[in-house]
This record gives sequence, structure tokens and C-alpha cells, in this order.
Amino acid sequence: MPHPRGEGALLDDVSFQIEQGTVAQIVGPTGVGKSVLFSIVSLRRASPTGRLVVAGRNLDRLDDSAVAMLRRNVGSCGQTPQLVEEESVAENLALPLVARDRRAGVFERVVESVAETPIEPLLEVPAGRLAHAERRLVGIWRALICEPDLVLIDGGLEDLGAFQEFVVEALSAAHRREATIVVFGRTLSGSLDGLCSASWRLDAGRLERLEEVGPMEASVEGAA
Amino acid sequence: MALQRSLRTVFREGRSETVTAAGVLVFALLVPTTMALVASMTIEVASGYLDAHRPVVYLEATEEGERAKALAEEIESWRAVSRARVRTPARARADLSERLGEEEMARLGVDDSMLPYSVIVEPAVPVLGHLDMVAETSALEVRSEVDTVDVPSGRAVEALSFARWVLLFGALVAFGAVAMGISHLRHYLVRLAESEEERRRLLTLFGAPPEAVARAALRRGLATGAVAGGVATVALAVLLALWYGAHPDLVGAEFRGSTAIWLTLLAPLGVGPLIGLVAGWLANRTIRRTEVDELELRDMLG
Repeated sequence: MPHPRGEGALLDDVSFQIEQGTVAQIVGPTGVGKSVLFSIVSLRRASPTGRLVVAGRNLDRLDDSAVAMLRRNVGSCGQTPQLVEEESVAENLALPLVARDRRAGVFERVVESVAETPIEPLLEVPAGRLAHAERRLVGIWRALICEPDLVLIDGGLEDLGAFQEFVVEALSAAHRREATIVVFGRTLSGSLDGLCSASWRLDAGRLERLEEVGPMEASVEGAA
Repeated sequence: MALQRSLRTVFREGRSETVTAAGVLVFALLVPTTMALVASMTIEVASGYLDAHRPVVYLEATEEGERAKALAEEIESWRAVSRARVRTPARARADLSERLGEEEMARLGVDDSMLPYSVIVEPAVPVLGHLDMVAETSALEVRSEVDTVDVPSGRAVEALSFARWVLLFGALVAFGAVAMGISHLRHYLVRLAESEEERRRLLTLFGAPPEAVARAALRRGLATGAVAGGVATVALAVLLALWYGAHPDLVGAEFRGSTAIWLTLLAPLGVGPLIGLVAGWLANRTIRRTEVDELELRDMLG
């Protein structure tokens, strides 16, 4: 994939594989293509070239309905999470449940899931009035609410401020139920020490495996 | 919480837009149905007029029935003609007797031998095909076996010509009105979808089935069409009642038993939702566009 500013390739034969239940990080400087990679893996954008295999499914061979089913296994949060601005935090958090056809008692489930968390006081606030860190918090919680097999977070965890510890706890809980978690950021997040077992550096269009950073053995191969 | 906002919420939030879209659709439904109503009330008068102005080809008195039959078969092969009927002298006498009365016939001393075989020509398409048929039939007068051709007078041809243009213009207006209704409703549904773009993209991202997302425009189109159809039916019924009150002779007392009038009155109830579905389908085609960004990546949530 050529760089938009003509500086060589943005992504060049990028291929990686993460085993289920692994917490991984992909790091690299600003503008190196992390968010592009995130948008491809999170099934927001598709490359006309290359092959994308997510959760064992080759996207080239899937029709719209199959992609929709695959998306139900993925929870993602971008650097600036897209929220429905005029709707409340509770309504935004309910969207993944609604999309997955789990509509019965949806608001009760949302309220129950955020009980005694920093999100609880924000439930009635329209999304358009959230501060950046609150917005990120809501975005990450929304990615986790349906307990997906694959959790993708772009923008690291540093900008979460006071909510960082709470989010790491939530990611730990997801990790305990064997979810695969990939965090895209500029630098390795220290708050994920002890959780993260695989990491890559993206630079000059190439992914370079960093040495093992955690206690778990991770297998790194594959395609993206 | 539903996949899409409820119809009540959507319509309440964009009340003026919804009312305008439904109003345009009511108008679009009223134009052709009012025309059909007028047509069904005047069809008998029009048919009588057309029957009276069918061309008749009179053969020479010396010609036999076989010649008349051959001529009728030839005329029937013309594209503008649906049927060419041979009228025997006996039948011609009976028709004349019906019009003049036996007493007058006896006074005039008319008998079968005085009346030739004739061919009565009927058009393939009433009114619209009448003029073409008249022109073709007139040319038969030069034939040796033909004595005379009775075609409508100049004024009748003018009237038919005018009626033809009125019908064509009416059909054009009716088509235009329906097309306008569909187009306006499609725009309304697309605007609604655009106002919910963020929500739609997020639902898609979280795995909502594509057909469920597309169903919103169809459901809203169907609902708007059904409401517009109901209003148009009521408006037509009121219009008919007002006409009957003002001109009972024009409408005719037997209109309550007319299948054509009842079908026309009830047509918007079926056509309205159908137009709504078509508009919803067209809106979905506009909404579900695939965009490619500057990196040539395809937007999978579009």
C-alpha cells in the first residue's frame, strides 16, 4: 500500500498472527500506518490488494452477511471513538447489543455492566458532551460490552488519564476469558506489563517482532 | 431499543419533512386516480361516441358476401384494426329498422336488396388508434369493389384528435406525478438515512445484518406510502361525494355499483405502499454506495 505522501510504502507485506487469548501491542511513530492497519483489522476498511484473515476467516471469500457475523466477534475502539453524538452514553453502549440482536432488557444490561464504574455517572450524558478521556473510556467499554473474542484498541491507553487503571482491569477481565486483545499505540504501554505477551514495531511499512515482553509464549505469524 | 429508531420517533422529529413527503405522495396518487375516476364515469358516453364514429366500408350492390368477407379479412390484418365485421344486407336492414322504425321503413320501401354488404371497422386501441384507422380506411374508396367509405366527419376527427392528445397528456401528467412522488419520497428517505449515518455505520461495525440495516428505508417508505394511500382514498371518496352532490347526472346514480369506480377509489391503498417500497429500494441503492479513500481502501461500513 503506497504512502499517501509518496514516501515509499505505508504498509508493505505486513503479516502477523496472534493466538487466541493473547494480549499484544503494535507500536510505531505517528503517521506510520498503525491506524490504517487498525481500520483494516477491525473490518472498517478493506484493501483491494492483499489478503485479510481475521479470526480464521478469509475476508475475500465472505459475503456481507458473513462479514456481519464475523464482526460480532470483534470489538474495536479507534483513537477518537465514533459515537452517536446526540444520543446518551447508555444508548451508545447499547448499540453493540442491539446490532447483535440482544435487545431484550438492553438498557438494564448496560446499567448492570457499568454499575460502580466510572461510566455509571455518565450514562445519561449525551455523547457529544463527553471530554476526550471519557469518550475513549466509553468507546473501549462499548468494544468490550458484548465480550468479543477479539478486542482492538487504537491510540494506546495513555490518553485515558485517570481511567487508565480501570480500563486495564477491564482488559484483564477480557483476557481471563480468553479474548485476544491488540493495542495499537506510539509506545509500549507500561500499564499492560504482565498482560502483554507479544509486540511488534511498525516502521517504514514493515512489522518487526519485538522480543517477548510478557510471561506468555506467543505465536506470531500470519496475515493482515 | 430497536435496531432503527421507531417510525413514531423518526416522523415526530422531522414532522414537517414527513408531512411534506406524505403530502407530495398523496398528490401523486390523486392525479392519476382522479383521472381514472373521470374516465370511468365518462367511459359509456365515450364508447357510444366512438361506436357512432366507426368507419363503415360499403361494397358495390353487385358484390357478394364472399367478397365482403375477403375484404374484412384484409382490413383485420391492419395493425390499427382489432376487428372488421361483415354486415349482411339483412343485418343492415335490421339496424336501420331499429333506428327508423318499421313504419318508416315501410313508407320508404326499404328492403334487403337495396342494402349492400358492408364492413364495420373497429380500432385496435380506442381513441388513440381511431385516427390511424380512419386514414387507412378512407383509402379503400378507390377500390373497384367499394362503393363508398363512411368515415367520421371533419369535426368528429378533430374531436377524436383532441381526445387523443388529452389522453396522452393525461397519461404523461399521471406518470410524471407518480415519478415525482417516488423521487420526493426517495430523497426524504435518503435524508433520514443520512441523519442517522453515524448510528448506521456503528450498527454495521458491531455486526448488524446488512439486510436489517437496509430494511429501515423499506419500512419507512412502506409506512409513508400506506398513510399517503389512506389519505388519498379518503380524499377521492370526498371528491366523488362532492361531485355527486353538485352534478348527480354527470356521476350517474349507478356509480355505487360500478366496479371500475370502486377499484379506482381503493387503488391508492395498494399503490401507495407499493410506491413507498419502490422509493425505499431506490433510497437503499443511493445509501449503500461503496467509497474508496485516498489510500484506495474500501469503506466497509458504507
